[in-house]
Amino acid sequence: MLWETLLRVLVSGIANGAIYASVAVGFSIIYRSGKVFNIAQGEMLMLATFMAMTFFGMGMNHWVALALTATAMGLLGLGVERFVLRPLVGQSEMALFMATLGLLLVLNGLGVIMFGTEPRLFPDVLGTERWLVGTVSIKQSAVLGTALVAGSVAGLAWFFRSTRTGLFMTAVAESHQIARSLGVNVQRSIGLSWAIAGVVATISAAAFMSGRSVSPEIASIAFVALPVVLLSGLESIGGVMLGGIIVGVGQSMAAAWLDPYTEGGASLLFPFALMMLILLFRPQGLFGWKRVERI
Amino acid sequence: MYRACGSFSETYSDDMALMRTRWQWLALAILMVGLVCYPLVASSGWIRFATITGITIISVLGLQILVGLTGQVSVGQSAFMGIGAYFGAIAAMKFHMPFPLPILVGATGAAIVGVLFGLPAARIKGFYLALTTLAAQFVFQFTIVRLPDSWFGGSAGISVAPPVIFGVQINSTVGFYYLTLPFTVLAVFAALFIMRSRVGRALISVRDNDLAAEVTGINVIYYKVAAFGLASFFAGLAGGLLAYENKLAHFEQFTLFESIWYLGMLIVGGMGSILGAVLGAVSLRFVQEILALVSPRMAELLPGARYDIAFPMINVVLGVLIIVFLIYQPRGLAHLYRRGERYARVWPFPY
Repeated sequence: MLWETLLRVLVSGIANGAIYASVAVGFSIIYRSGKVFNIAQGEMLMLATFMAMTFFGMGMNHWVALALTATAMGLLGLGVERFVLRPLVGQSEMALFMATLGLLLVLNGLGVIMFGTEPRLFPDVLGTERWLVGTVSIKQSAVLGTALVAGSVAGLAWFFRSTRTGLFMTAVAESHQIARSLGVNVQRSIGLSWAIAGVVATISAAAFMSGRSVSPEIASIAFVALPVVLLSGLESIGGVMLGGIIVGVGQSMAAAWLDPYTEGGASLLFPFALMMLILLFRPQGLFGWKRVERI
Repeated sequence: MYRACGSFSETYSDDMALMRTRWQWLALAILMVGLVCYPLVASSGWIRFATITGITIISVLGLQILVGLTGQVSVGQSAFMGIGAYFGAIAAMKFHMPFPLPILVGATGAAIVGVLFGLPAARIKGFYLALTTLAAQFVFQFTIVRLPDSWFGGSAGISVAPPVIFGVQINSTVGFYYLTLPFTVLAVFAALFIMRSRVGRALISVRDNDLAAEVTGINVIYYKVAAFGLASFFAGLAGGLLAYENKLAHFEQFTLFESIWYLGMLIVGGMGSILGAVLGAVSLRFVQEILALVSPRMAELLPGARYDIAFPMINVVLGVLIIVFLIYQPRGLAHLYRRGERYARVWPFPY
């Protein structure tokens, strides 16, 4: 009985953790290559989801629709760099953060205006089968989605560690000034990171929304992904997978064992309590660069 | 500060005076009379707008002390307002305190919670600190519903009876306007005096360079945490007033969007000046009011005819305004006002 509960908690925790990781990786890509903390990452996920649904609604093949969405989201990322961030080059990190808060308002409002607030069903793109492991049933879409996210996170980690472009982008995160004087195109690096984040948002939409009913409120997933990215460290790309699993499993444990006593509050509060603890005791996270400003 | 030719000070107290010429006193008097007479000319919708704007000004002033003076960005101001509203509502309804007390209880309670959430400021700064205020926002929203209904009313919130002052029950739009006005005026002057006092100068020095401030003998951690307390006190004051105005303290009035809007008001108004907080709050509330009036018409023009686009329209316009001001006028409306003032002083000469 305990083992069955534990297995169920693990399965749902890892699947949820992968969602958080897929959003968190968007945070760390953008932070790692431009020192911009994009609080509007959840809104990008929401836009990608609804854009894909619009394309599905036109009767397109699922994969064509997803490819189109990825292109559009990439262009959106480039547009954000061009019209919001480029004019703010050289401003403080806080000004950039507040600009992404403005972006959050804009994208959220646009999403609600264009797609309405009523929940809609996202089509099954990753299959509907369920597998039984012991007594616990596992959805095929969750397994495929988790694998897809794990694959893309691994690919991105490799890209940032081992390719020339990825290393250039890492250099930009270290210091705009020095990167530029060494001949790195800072603007292109930031633009590219935003485009990648847009594509990643499409991947996470495809991986996790299939078969669910979605409304613009799914954007708030990003706030639960905040502790994930803080836990793994803002600059670490591979680490978000581990961070996501820790947060996801912790949350489903809280849901399984604490929620009955707290009216469902424990699982909602867990990520934020964890976030406060991380910020207090290890702000650079598990794998981040130790650069947090102290007084 | 640009002063008219011939207006010079002979004593130190003259030099520090807030009001230095007779014309300034006159302008202040006219403004006050105008504010008092406003309900005589405005329709009830616009009186309510003025009340809400006054409450917003109080909250944004608090945020100005935290963000503009101390340089610690907070995205949780409306959560602290909510705490003030709930504490005030409980003081009024459960303990039956007479009118001004519940608001003070709410403000003090909010200040205490604000200090608690500000404690991480002792260890971290920058946007890591902003994230703790974001956590405060969510902890507030998620906790208050799930605590036992007998504590904070659960999902229904706490309804607040109209306040009674000297035996008169205040229950009309005009009444709430006159209830809010003294608090707003007091808050503006309190913020002005805080900014010009030792505390304000300490906060500004912490913002400009906390290392240098520490070396000069300022207790940096104390002032950083105290700024959270002050900001939350103002927020709690505003929240308590809002609870009276809406006759309800409810967590859905205090969302993350509200918090971001307050930050937007600060950016549009101008960081680090009291005038900026007032201008930002008034102008953005005005934009919101106009959008709320216009958007039902706009919804008819859009395909699909959705009638609930006021809220997302406000978000889009405010978000665009935040970005535009950050890019083109990072010092905000207050700076534009000062430039206009200077231009008017030397007119018709260029300088």
